[in-house]
Amino acid sequence: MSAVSEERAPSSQRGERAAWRRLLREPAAIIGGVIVGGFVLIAIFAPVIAPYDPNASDWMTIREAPSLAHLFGTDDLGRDVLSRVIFGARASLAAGFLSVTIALAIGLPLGVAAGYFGGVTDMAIARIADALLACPFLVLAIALAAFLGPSLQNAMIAIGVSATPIFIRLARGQTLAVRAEDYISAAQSLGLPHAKIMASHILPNILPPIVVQATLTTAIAVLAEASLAFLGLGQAPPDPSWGSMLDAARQFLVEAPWMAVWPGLAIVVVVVGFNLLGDALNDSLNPLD
Amino acid sequence: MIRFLASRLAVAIPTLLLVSVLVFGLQKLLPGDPALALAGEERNPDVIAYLRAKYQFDRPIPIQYASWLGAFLQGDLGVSVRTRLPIGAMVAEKLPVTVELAVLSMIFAIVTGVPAGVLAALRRGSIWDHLVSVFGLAGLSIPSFWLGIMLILLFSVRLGWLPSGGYTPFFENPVENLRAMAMPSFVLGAAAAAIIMRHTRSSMLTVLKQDYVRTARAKGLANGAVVFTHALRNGLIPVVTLGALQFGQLLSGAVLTEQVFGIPGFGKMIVDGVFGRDYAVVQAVVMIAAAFFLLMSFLADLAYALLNPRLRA
Repeated sequence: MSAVSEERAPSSQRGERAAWRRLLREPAAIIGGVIVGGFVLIAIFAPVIAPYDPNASDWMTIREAPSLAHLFGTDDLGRDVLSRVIFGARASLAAGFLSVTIALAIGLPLGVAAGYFGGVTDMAIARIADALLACPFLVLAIALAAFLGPSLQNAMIAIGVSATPIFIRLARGQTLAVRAEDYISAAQSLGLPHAKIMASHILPNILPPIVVQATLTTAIAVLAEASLAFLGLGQAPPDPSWGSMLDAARQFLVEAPWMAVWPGLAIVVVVVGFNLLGDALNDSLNPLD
Repeated sequence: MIRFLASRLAVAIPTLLLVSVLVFGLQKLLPGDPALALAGEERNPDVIAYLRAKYQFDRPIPIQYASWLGAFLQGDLGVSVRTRLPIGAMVAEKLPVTVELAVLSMIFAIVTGVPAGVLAALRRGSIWDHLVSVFGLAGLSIPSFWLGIMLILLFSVRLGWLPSGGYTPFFENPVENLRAMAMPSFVLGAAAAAIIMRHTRSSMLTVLKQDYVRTARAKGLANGAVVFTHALRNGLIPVVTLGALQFGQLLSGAVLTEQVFGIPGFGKMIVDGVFGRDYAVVQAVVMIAAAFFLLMSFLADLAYALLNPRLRA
């Protein structure tokens, strides 16, 4: 760590501690954290928790209403809906986290570079971000997923690329604000390389709004994955995904309405969790807003 | 103000050109012979030869792009390989359906979102404020397609009050049209209502703290007059801008809503295009959606410039 950042360290550590304290006092943060954490555990321990094999069809139990044997009922192929909802958490959360990771991995360096270097670099990057932002998010994700071919992996790439301009724009704006600070001029006058200044001095200082946006974008990504799977552009059958379960349930609304209720509720609860967490992070990291 | 709008237009046009480069570039992602890929399931050599000649796939990429864009700007959006209809005619048929859906959704979003947001700001911390927060969070978190399915389950399957899908043109039978559009408009408008609600609340809270509102109160104006003639007028400026941007985003949501309710609109056209491997349709739809969004952004800027006295000069 350089002298410049060491000099700032104590106050930023105090700020971090205060932000954590504010976060832990927010009921929204606790509820959101419990929901997200709970679903992460469900996804990890799905094979242990799920009462049945999620893909095992049983012709004797087709479209059975919820009972003690099958708490959420069974689907059109006699598969246990609860087990499929539990395993479906894997596709949803993987899509949420990985697509946001893709968006961050592309968007952050581009946005910081645009804001830091300015000039032609900035113009080129900002214009590309504007062009991507002009395409409605889901339409772009659908078009990309269609061109890449339907699979969970391609859905994640499509959602990640579609969400990238959000982070380019945010990182660029934040960098523009930070670039004028004295400690950046100090680092530049010490002759530090640009990459080092961007990574060690700019990035840590623009992180709070990025963390908030990443959390809220994870909610959007979970919804987008469910939407793509609902349209048949996500997880390939027979592996469960909440979106594709809802698509299948549409055919049996009269005979087996429970098939449509549980996967949808699971999506709502996870998305509420990420949104609560994002709002609470926003309140605790930006207390002046 | 003219300079402000000209500068916005100067950004919008290159952005649209860049979108066209991206949309054209998407086609290059397709593996193998682009003419074969564009032809989709079609294997007729005449069709493939026609596509190869039309899009000049044997020429350098910049020339291919220029000829594609040239045709697009002249209104030649290509031919759908699935329906064999000109894409321009398909858009002309489907777009009004989606525009009606979007307009109805926006009316719903404004009629519910603005008063709820104002109420929450005026009664900050009350039960109304908490209810608005809960509805706002729900509107942002409930997937539109699931909400649609649940409404069909309740109002069509259980109660039999509303049709579960389909579309009747307004001028053919206005009552049937509105009955068929009621649930889709609610579903599509719910997220926009939530966003408008949250922004109206925070914008009103900011405005209500301003000095001129305090002055209006201090000179003894009735609360209604303070809120409606002084605070609301300024508090709604960002909401108008946001509303225009939301309207531009509704096309995105229309894709799912139209799929759930079987509405033959623009959104369903993109899904059918994707599954029919009808890439020319997908390209055209993305271009039109982007152009529509940029138009709405421009109108948002225009509204902002007209409403904000500081930009009126």
